[in-house]
Amino acid sequence: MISIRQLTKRFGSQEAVRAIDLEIPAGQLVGLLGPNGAGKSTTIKILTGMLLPTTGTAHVNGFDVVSQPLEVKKIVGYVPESGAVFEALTGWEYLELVAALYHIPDEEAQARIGRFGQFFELDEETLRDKHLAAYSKGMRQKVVITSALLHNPQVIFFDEPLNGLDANAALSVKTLITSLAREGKTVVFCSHILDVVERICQRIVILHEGRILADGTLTELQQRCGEQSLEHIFNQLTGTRNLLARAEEFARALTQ
Amino acid sequence: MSASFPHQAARLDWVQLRALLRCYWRLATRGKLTAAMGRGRAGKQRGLTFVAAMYVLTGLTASAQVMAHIDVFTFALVLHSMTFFIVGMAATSESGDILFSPSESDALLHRPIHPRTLLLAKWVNLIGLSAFLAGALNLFPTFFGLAARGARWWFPLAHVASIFLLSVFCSVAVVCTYGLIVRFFDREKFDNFAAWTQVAMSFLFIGGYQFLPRLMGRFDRLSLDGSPYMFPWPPAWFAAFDAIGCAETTRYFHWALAAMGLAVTGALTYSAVGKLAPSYGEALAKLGETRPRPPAPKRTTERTRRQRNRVMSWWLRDPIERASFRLATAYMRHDRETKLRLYPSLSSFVIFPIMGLLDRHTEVSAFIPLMTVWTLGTLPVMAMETLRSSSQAAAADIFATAPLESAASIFFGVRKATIFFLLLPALCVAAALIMFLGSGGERALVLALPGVVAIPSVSLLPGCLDDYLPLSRLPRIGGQSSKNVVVMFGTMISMGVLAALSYLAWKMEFMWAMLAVEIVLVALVNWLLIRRVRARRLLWE
Repeated sequence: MISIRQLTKRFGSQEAVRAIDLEIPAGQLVGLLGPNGAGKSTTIKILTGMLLPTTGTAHVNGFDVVSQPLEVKKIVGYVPESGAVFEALTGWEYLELVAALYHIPDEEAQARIGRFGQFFELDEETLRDKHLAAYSKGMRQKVVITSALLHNPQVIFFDEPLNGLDANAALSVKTLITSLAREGKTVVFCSHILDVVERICQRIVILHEGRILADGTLTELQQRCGEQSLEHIFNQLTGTRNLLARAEEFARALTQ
Repeated sequence: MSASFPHQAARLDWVQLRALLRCYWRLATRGKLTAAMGRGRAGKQRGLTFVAAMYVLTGLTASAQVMAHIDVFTFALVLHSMTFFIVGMAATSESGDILFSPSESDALLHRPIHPRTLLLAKWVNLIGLSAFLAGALNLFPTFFGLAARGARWWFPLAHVASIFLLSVFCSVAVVCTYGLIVRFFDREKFDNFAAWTQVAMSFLFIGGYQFLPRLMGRFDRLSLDGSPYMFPWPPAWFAAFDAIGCAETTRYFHWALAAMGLAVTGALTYSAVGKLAPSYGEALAKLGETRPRPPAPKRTTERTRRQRNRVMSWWLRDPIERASFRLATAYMRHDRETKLRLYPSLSSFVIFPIMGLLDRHTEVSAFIPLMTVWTLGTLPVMAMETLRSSSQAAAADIFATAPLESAASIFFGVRKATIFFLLLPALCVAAALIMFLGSGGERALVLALPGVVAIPSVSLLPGCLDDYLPLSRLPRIGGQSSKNVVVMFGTMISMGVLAALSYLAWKMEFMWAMLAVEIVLVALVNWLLIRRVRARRLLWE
């Protein structure tokens, strides 16, 4: 589970995250939404021990992210939006490196990598022989997701995990994410693809300018905002007014 | 708020260390492959091999000193000084990429790696690079040393060991310096301070290397064995190991120097890995932060800005050139990686005038202005090569999607930025230093004029051989393309020939006539080279 109390992160004079409170119980799949610069990635980076909070506390499964960062890192998995990997390694070598960093025994690591390879339909020859630099974006994203799940983490953060995946792979990943939550993992899912969030997340948290604007199930948010789709709810809470009219006007100006 | 890593996890994790070392080794040896596959336009990169070959040749020439029949200690001292300078510079310039690679953070920072383990892995990586370069430099001297006075047959073994120790010392000194910076400076100051510390370290390595010949000049029999001046000089500590290991006579002096070397290296290692490692973890976290930059204070008046803009608008008439100029300027001023790679190398361009300051009492010789302008000739080429690579190389795809027939305007913009922001200030500093050197400074300055006139034309060479696209290649260790090495050599040779001609003209008193002829020739060459650059069609592989 995740427990955040009055969490604040400042970069100089700018507050990226402003005194947020959040409790996510084990086994819950939470969609973390917000416009660009809302503080989603900063919050996730604090929860994965990559950034230090300015004030406030954050605990992951009871471990403090500030005083016990290594304990936190051992139990979390993180799929970064950037999809960063070491491109000079083969997919297999990269995953072996990740396995070693989590002290997964060699044989076990090989078996797990093989299983993930099968699930993602990455053939072993490609994984073993081709450098990640030569992978397509989708293939690379599959390796990144594998590297986040290889050590069987209890808490998983997905930041735009569907980037670059084809329709079939995206469906597999979405199913995998919901299944992981059913198996008792705590999952935080960040995405701008709102219909996916709408379909798979049990709870939705909307961040804007570092603050939590809304937190609840889809039904609760629908009742609160009087809108049916998450897209409209999101726009009502965070967006500019008259989006449609503005877009039409802009397109007209552009073509003239 | 500071991160305090738990005590029970403070010990080294050997499994992780082994895995990280294997990974870094693969990254170092496969860099060129990745670049070629990833971006598809890296071309053939033989950088590190070529650099090593150059070092082997330099070492071969240094071996010639053995002909002077000097003793083992002095022979080893000269070699260690040279290694200290060259390897120290290499470690300094590569350390930014190795220690604070921004591309690594999303792949590694959320993994349960203690900063001590990560720092140790990177330090070993840096030692590997330093030892490789030191090994190349000392390949021939290791065997030539057998001819030094008093050397015994196992000199090569002793020298290899002492050179390795020196590599360890150089790398740990660099790691410690960074460790101290990240401990005491916040994210905002870190970037600038780290870059300028590298410049200072480069000065230290270059200045230190110049210290030795001056010291040798004070001794009649070319021996520094037993000199008390050796104690503050790190290469002497490690040269003492050669003397202890294989000279026929060993003295307490050697033992004292060697002990000092071990003690200082040990203390630095303890400080770096033992004490400074936690702040390294914090530094990596800080580097992951993106902070909005406050608007720069207005330092110029509106009128001055308008006038300057008018001049710049004329100089940068082509909009693509202007955009490229701005891109290069932004990276030179604000990008941490670029600054870390670029600024340290600047120190070598004003070192000759500074050397002259050490000998102020004598009349200014022709050597200093000639050498200064000779080295400055390579500055734009070197800077342009630095600006060719960036960890954000994927962003250079913008050049592929833009409807460009030729990379010429982009090249000219970057070239003008390096001339305006690097060459001009460096020339001014060098000229001021030469003027203040002593009597005859102004007269000697005339010697530099032919070189100065030729530099802008020489800086066109990179655009003639290759499609020059800034920030389009991923940075690699020792990552110079073979074409760039050719350009560098071409620049050095042409500037060298010009320096020789200038000296002749100065001696035979037809300097002004030569300058007039040169201006005409340079204008012609300039025109031809610009035509050649513009004629190149941009081939996007």
